Amino acid sequence: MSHHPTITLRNLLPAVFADERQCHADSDIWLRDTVEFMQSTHYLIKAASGKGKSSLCAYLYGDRTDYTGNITVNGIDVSNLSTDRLVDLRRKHIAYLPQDLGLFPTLTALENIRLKNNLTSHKTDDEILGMLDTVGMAGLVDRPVAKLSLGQQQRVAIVRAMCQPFDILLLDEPVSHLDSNANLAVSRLIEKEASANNATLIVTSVGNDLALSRPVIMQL
Amino acid sequence: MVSKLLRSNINRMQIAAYTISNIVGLIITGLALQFYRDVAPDSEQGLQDPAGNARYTILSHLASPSFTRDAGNEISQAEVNEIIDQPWAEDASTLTTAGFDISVSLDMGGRGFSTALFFEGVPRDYLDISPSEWTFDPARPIIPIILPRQYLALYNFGFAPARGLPVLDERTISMIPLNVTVSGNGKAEMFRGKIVGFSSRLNTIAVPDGFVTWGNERFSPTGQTACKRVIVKLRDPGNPTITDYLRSHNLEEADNNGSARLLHFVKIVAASVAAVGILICLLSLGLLILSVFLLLQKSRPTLAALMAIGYHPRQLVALYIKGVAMMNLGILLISSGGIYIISRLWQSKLSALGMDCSSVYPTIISITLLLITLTMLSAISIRHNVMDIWAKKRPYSA
Repeated sequence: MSHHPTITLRNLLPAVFADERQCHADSDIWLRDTVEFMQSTHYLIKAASGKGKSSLCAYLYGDRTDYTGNITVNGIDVSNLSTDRLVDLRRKHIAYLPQDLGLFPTLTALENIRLKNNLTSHKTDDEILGMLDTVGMAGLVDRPVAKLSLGQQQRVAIVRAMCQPFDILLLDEPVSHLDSNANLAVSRLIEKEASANNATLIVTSVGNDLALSRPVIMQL
Repeated sequence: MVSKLLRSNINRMQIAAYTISNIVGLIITGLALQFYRDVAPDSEQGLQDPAGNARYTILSHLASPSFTRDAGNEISQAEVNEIIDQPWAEDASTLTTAGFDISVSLDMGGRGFSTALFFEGVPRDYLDISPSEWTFDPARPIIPIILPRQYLALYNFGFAPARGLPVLDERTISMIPLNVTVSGNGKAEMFRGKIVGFSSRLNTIAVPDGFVTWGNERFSPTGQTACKRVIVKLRDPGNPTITDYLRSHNLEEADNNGSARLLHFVKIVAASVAAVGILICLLSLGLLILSVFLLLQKSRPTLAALMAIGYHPRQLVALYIKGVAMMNLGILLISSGGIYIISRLWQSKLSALGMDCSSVYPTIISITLLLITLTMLSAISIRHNVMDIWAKKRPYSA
């Protein structure tokens, strides 16, 4: 079965690194002629803090365009999309977990997830509760997010991110606050969902890696 | 759920301030508009002034007891020019007085009717009706005549019933042929007269000034045209200096135009109050736009997070506009009720005076249109602010 690239990067470099190009000569991503992320393949991008992991995620999600080079997602340049096309890309093609999670503290865990699922109608309530159960959050679904620990919030945000159809699942340090058991449970769920969608999985890590089975490891 | 999320950032004090100020503004605007319409209705009744008669007045020198034919109270052209130069006057013209004897007779079903009359020459520009002919041609001598509308009323409700004569409407009376006999200076001549209309502005029997001038040359003992009254078109009928000017120049108004001028003044006051009401509405709009701006600034992280999980800015704009529209609908209902109830208070008093008041519904439609305009302006502001958040969410976008 042949896979096609879902994301292609060409000579990509954050604008902020423009004056220190030689420092990124060893990067598998920055300043490479062409970097392709293939369908149904799982990538673990590892880097020390400050190397631009979150910037890369924001570029791929169309949130920021402060870079040189070129990014195409499913063949389309994401730097200059119209509002309608960017919203469509976010609802149907790229699922994203930002590092700051983007949860609403006054809403409960389940309400936070429904807020997105109401938009996409991708999962049933039972499926959502099943996913939360898988990551050990079954008893906390009705608790306001403000009263959850960071690790619990991370799991809620991961489940929410997957409540949509996607070709690309983009997770920015998804398990930075999880112990190894929770990491394993989350990893199984993420891999299952990514496989079900034949998606490209891109996960960044600053040290605590998501426990993926056979990831392609890249250094930033 | 999104509404619940966004509502949590609403400042109730700001919303209350907007609501109250807008209700006050709309009620003031609506009441002023309704009052204006009640005192100046479009119908034929009440203190109506459809022809703008308040803008015209007829002046003459204060009458002094005299037994001579010429009392010497003529108005000179210099006096007319001085009146025209006054800031409250737009234009003025003398009414030319016929210095000869006039007798009018008519035949109504075999019953003759004859009376001595007086004529005054009035230029066409000062008529409140537009007769097809308002000229006098000695070669084809038919005299067009305009009677005061009060004369017809006096005839129909006073003279005709007492004498067993038929009641006449304006159309009928215009068809009655008149025989006008003009005499003086040892001559007499008969003309045909035709009533071409009735005036509510002119309290005189008006004929073209050309006829009076022509007649004076032939039939007046002096051959001169005397001008004892002047008709003035007012630029500013509510100007209080008019009364002072008239007093200092020994002039008086022929008709009691005071009520018409008072009406004009009341209308100006009502219009001013309406303007204040609209100003309050605009200030409350400013308050709403400021509140929306502050609300959106406060909700900025929430809105940005919603957009980040796939909400379209248009969806969020629609939620805010729906909220403002619902609030404005409530404001409209309360304001309309207030206008309806308060206007009833004076309408019952005006009705007791025999005046017909205007319907309140056109006023409510007007404030509805005003509120729709305010809602649309708010919507534009909301859209601008939300799109600003969307654009700044991606601060490096081209």
